[in-house]
Amino acid sequence: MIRKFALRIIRADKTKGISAIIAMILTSILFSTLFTTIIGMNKASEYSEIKKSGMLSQIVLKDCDSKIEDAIEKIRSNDMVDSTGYRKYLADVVNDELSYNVELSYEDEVYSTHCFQDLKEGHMPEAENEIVMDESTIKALGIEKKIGASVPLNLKIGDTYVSEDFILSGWFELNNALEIKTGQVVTSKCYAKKWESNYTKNSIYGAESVDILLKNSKNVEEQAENLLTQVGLDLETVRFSVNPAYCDDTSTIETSSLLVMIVGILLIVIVGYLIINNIFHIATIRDAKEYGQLKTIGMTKKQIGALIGWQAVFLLIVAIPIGILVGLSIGEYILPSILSQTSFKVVAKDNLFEMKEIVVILAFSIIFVLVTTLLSIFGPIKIIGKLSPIESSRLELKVYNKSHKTTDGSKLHKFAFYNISRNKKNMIILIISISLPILLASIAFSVLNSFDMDKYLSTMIYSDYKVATDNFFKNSYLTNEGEIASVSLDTIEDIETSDTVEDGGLIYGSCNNLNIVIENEKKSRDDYWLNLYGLDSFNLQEDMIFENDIDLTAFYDGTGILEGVWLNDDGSIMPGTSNYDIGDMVNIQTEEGKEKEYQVIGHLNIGGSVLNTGISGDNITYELYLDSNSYKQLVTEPQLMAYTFDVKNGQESNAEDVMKQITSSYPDVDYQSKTTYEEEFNTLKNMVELISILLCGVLSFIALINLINVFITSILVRKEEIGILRSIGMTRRQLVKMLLFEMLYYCGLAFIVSMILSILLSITMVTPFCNSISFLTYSLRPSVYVYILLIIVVISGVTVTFEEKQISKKSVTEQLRSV
Amino acid sequence: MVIRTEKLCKFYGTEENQIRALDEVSIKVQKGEFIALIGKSGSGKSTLLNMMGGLDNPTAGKIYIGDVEISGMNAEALTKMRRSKIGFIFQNYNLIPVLNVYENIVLPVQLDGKKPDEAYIESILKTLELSSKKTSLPASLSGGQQQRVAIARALANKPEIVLADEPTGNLDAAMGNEVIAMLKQMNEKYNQTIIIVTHDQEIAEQMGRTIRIVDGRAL
Repeated sequence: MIRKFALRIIRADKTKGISAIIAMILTSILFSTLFTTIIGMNKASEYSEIKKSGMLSQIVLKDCDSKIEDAIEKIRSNDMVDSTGYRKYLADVVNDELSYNVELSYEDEVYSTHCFQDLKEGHMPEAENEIVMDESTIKALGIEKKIGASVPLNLKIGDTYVSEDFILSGWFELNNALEIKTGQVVTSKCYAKKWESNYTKNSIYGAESVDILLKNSKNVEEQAENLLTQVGLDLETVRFSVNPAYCDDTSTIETSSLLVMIVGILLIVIVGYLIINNIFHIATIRDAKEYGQLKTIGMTKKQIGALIGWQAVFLLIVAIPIGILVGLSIGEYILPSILSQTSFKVVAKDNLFEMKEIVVILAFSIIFVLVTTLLSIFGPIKIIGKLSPIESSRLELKVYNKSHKTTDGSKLHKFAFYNISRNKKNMIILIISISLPILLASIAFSVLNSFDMDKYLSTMIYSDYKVATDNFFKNSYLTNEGEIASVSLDTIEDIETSDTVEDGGLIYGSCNNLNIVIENEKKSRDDYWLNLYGLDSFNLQEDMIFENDIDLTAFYDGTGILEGVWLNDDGSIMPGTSNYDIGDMVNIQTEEGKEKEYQVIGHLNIGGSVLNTGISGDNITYELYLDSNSYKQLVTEPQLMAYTFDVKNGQESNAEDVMKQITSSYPDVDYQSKTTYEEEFNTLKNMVELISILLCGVLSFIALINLINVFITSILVRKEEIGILRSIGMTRRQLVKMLLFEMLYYCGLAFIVSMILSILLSITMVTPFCNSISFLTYSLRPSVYVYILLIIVVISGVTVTFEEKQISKKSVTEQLRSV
Repeated sequence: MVIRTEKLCKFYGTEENQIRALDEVSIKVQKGEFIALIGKSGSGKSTLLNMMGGLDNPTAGKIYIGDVEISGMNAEALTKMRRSKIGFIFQNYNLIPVLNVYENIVLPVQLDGKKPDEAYIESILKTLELSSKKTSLPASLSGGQQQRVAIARALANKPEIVLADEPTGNLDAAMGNEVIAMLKQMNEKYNQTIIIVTHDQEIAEQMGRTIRIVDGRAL
């Protein structure tokens, strides 16, 4: 009976039902969109790194021999392992039409899947002459994209060149995330066997590798060592590499950033809670009279509680599925749009979410809305339960004071204030529920307008271009094989002779060369890491130096040395990153007995655009910078880490062409330019803009909904009182004026609260947090308050006018009549 | 003539289910009269009072306050007329809970854009024994005190006419008699025309004139 009654009540008061459903939907949308977007962005970031690496799997065993073959089964059956794949590199494809590297290899299906080569059409090659290949290479070779098409390939195997005719059995999309475009052609096992009988293994040709996809991506290096040891392989002799995309980034979130995130999430949680609370709490108080009347006919407290509870349940049944679905859809819809504007566009079309993550988002949103609703109705149920029918009918209009000493309270502006402050506790909650969304929206707006291109560029690059190997840009200057990925002088000469260079300079870098020793270091050489650099004068900018007014004479005459350090947000040197004070002596010794003592003359801010290897040791790391001539005198085999240069005026597009040609001619070379960073900056900005606008929109809408709901409800509960006022002579115009005052008080107070809070939060948390981000210089934008005020005033006017018209449709007598 | 109605009608609903709350009521009220509108519950007496006070519009017929016909007036004009010429007292007191006694009383004056006549207000307060309760809010007053505040409010604008709908309905007998006595006093002191709706014969007998309403008709 109670359930039917609850349903009838909902049907009878459609406005209340719709408002409640809208509130729940909005909250569900807010949460599920936010979490979908945040989790999605995080996943995109991780996944794009993995895709850039070219492999899903975490470990690759190289140069497989019989020992590894014996261990494969054990590896496959190990609990840590999800799957393993096999690849044998057979040849380079060297058809004239191709302007990029194309590799021919045999891969089993697992390996192909791990390399993002899922077939779009066709089947994996079975017959000896069948192949599958990527769509870009099909197009480049001018082959008809259909199953059974003939594919003539010119192959290079070591020094041997051979032509083979294949048949296309399928194709897949090229992994465009790879830094260097590389086509793939996969043969059948039969062909690989035929290859073995015709050719012998010769360096990379015939090299076999096994990739291992672990179930868990945490602590991959440790897992790799454990796994290989468990299956009986000798870590000293087996060659394996760990996918750098999975290498743990052990950077911890700073306390201040964590605090900002927690506060931000808390505020959003409170906003979501308050909107539901407002709707239900106000609705229940508004209906208190009816519930009081039910008491007079014998309904118990428990039954009334059940009546209110069932109404909430029916509304939740409608609202939650809609809200969650819409929120998920919005998140999943906008996520690709956001990603496509960023450097994560390579994964924009990929399915980033696993079922468990979707379930988590759904569950959390549902639980939150459920808990919020229950909390919102619990309070009023308790209050109504205690009151007599008469008290229930006067619940909302109850004034808690006994007197006040003013005599001009009947003036409209004062009267309006007394009206809104009848119940101070409710007023405070209502002000908070309106001001919080305004606060968040104003901060989001300010962040939106705090993008600082100059700051961003100054931390990334000080020249128009910087050229190095792609390994350097992937933080693998010292490769897993222990080699230095230096750039060749030929590359630099080609650039310099292109007539686009205005000025430039070299940066040498020795990355923990064990032959270079700090003589006066007490620790043994194995216990510290030493990165020693040589800088041309072009690469030493004044603003890189931590200290002011450093005399660099000693640096250039070979007696001085600079130490690279990291800085805190407040500009002080981060403890543990500086090992020397100015004036300390550093004695460096290299092989062949070369030794020199230098005096430390200052510190370089590595966190700026100062180039470093990006690799450090587990214990102490020394980052020491010499003038390039001093470096070359000291180090027998100078390692050229990077070259930076500025472009001549008017040569910008030529420079870009030159660099594209350079990377084509030297496939292991890559570059970054100011333009690249500007583009990255703009994509970042677009991404943040999209999210901020979405957030601002939803939050502003929530604030408005709160405001309108609060106001309309406060009028509805005062229908009789308004009738009284009309009966004793309040004109409609005076009524509108009073209601406008009330609306503006709510808005004004909420506005003041949000403004004070936003100033306080900006000073204490948001500014330091944002300014620690390389592309933001935060400042509160006063213009946002003007926009907010304008919107508030307009909405207030419209709401008041509309509501007053509704009220005035009834005659005074009808308004005075009790329900 | 202060109030005059001519064949006043108020019907609700459509033909088959029509309720004739007032059916061609024609009455005349002179200045200074103290009148009781008496009748059973549902007889139409409150409806007639509301019509006379401009709180409701007739279905047919005319109402005059003085020489002015109000039956065709728009809501705003009625409101302005009401606050300057008519004081209303309700059975439920209908005080504004957020305003104190003084502010409730002077509210109609303020709404009329005038400054309260402080001496006059003080005299009302004194007469109605409310001087010590000026700053009190309605929730802290007894029923009788609240009704007295309602009376004071009705008189604040020095209206020509005071209309009271069951002013003793929520009071005990002693308090009820006190309220009627005060109204009589106001009538004698200020020569206001007072019309009271009541179902109580004893109260009606204290009035100068009684108009009986039966099934929407005035007898």
